[in-house]
Amino acid sequence: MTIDKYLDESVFAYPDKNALVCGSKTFTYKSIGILVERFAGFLLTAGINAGDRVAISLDNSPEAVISIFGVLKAGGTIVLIPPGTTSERMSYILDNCEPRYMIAQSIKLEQLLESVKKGSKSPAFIFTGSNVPRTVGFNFDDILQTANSSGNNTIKDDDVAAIVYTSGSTGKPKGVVLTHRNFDIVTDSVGEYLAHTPNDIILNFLPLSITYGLLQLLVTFRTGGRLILEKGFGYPYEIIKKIKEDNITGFAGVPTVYSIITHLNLEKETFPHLRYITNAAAAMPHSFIPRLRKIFPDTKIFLMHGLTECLRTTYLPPEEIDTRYTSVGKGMKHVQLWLEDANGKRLPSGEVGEMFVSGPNIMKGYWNDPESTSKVLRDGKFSGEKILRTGDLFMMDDDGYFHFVGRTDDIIKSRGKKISPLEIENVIYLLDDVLEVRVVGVPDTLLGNAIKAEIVLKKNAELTVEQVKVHCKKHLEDFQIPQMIEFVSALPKSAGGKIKRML
Amino acid sequence: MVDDEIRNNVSQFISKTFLFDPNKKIDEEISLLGTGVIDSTGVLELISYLESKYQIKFEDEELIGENFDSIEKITGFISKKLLNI
Repeated sequence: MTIDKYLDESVFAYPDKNALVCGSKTFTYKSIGILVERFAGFLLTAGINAGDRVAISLDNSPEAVISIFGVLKAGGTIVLIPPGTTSERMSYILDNCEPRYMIAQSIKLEQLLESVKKGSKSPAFIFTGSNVPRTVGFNFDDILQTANSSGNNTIKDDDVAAIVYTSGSTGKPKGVVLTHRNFDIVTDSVGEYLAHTPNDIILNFLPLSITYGLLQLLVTFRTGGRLILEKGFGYPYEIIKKIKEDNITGFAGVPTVYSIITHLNLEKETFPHLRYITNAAAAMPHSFIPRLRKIFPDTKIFLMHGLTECLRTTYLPPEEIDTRYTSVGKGMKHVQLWLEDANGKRLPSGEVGEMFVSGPNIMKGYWNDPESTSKVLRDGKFSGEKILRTGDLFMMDDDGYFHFVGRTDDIIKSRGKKISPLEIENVIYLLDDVLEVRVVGVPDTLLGNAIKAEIVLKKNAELTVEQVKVHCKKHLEDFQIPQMIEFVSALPKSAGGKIKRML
Repeated sequence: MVDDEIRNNVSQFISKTFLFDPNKKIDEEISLLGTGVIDSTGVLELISYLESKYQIKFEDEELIGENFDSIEKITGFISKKLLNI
C-alpha cells in the first residue's frame, strides 16, 4: 500500500474521530482528509508530476501533517528538512534534490532566499504563517481555502515517497531515498509489535522531519489512532501533564529525553493509560532502565535499533527488559540481520562485528550520490536483493539478541586498544548528577588518542572531576578511564535530539 | 527593572548561546522551540541562566511554553516574577 492511503482508509473507517491534536487545534480524520485533498489538488493543478520533489521545512504543526500527506497524495516525493537547518546545509540540499516546491515558515524567508544558490533553479515557495508578498511565494492558508481536490495519483509501492537528509558524520549531507514499500513494511511491523489499535492516543514531540518522528504519524494514522503533536520536549512538566490529562497510551523518546524524565520529581505520579514507551536513535544508557521502570512500572519499554537508511531493524520484547537491558533485541519481521568482520566474514555469537541488513526496508540509495551509495549498498545473492552495511558494531549473544557496541566511526583507538565510548558513557551515566555525557577521542602523541569525557550536570549538582575519576576507576579498566574530564553547559545535538559524536 | 533591559539580556543570551552570534537578531515573537532556535536541553540551559541572572526560582508548573517559548513571553514572565518578589 502507498502511504498516502493510510489517511484515506482511516477517513473512510473513522471519519468523525479525532485524528490530530496540535495545541488548541483538533482535526477529525474527515476534516484533515479534506484539507489534504485540497492541498494535493493545488499541487496537481499546478502540474506536479509523479516523483517531483517537494521540500518541507516546518516545525511540528497541522501544516506539516497536511503537507506530508498532501504531497504524497499528489504523487510527489517529500523532502524532509528540519527547520533549524543552517543556510549552508539548506543550500546544499536544495541544490542536490532540486525540489519543485518548498513549504516553509514565513519567518525563514530571508534565510531561504539566501540558501538558493546563485544560478541554480529556485523552488516555488509556499509559506505558512504571516503573509509574504505574492511575488515571493504562495500562502499556505490561502491554498487550503481556495484549492479544489483534483483526481488521484498513479504512484506504486516502489515509487519514492521521501528523501531524508542524514547528518552525515563527515562531509556533506546524504539524501536517503525511501520508497512507499520501505515505509509500508516498517509501519506494518511496528504497528504489530507495539500492538497499535484505533484506541491509541500517541504523543509525538520528535520532529516530523526525522524518520523516527515521521513513523509516529504514519503508524498512528495507519491504525486509526489519535496523534497529539507537540513542538518538542522543551517543557518536560508540560509533557508529563499532557501524558496524564490526555490519557496518552504511547510515546517515542531518545536518551536525551529519558535523561530529563529520570531527573524529574515524579514519585507521586501515576500513568495508568500509558501502554508503552520506545527508545531509538541512540542507545539507552543502561542505568536509565531501572529508573524508568520505577517511574513507569506498568508501561512496556521497547528498546529498538534503526537507522534512516532502513528505518528500523530490531526491537527487544519488553518482557526481556530486566534481564537483557543491554540488548536492542532481534530482527523484526521481514528483516535479516547478521554481523561481519572487516574481511566480510560472517561472525558467530559472542564476537563483535558490523551489522548488515537485508530486507524490503532498505533504502534505494542516496539521492544523486552514486559514490556514497556504493559504499553502503551491495548486491545480495538473489535478483534485486540489496544488502546494507550499517556502520554499527554489535555483539550477538547465544540466543540471537543483538547488543550495540558503537558506531564503527566512533571507536577510539587509544594505547593500541579499541575502546567503545558507549561503555564509558554507560558507567558515567551511573552517577546520579549526570544529565548527559559524551566520550570522544582527542589526538594525543603518546596514546594515539586520549579519552575525553564531556559532561552536562543536572541543576544544582556538585560533582567534581576527581569524583568522576574515582567512579570510573571503580567500574572500568585502566585503559578506558578518561584522561580528560570537562563539565560543559550543553552538548551539540542533531534535530532528533541525538548527541553528536564529532568534535 | 524595565522590560527593555530584560528583553535585551535574554535576546543576547539566546543569540550568543544558541546561534553563536551575540549580534544576531531574533524575532521576539517566534516560537524558540518550533523554529529550532533552541532544543529541549537548550530550554533547561535558558531556564538555569534566567534563575541565576535574576535570582529567582521557577516552580515546576511554571516551566511551560506559555512562559518561555518566545523572547516576548520570557520578558513578560520575568518582569511579572520580579514584581512579585
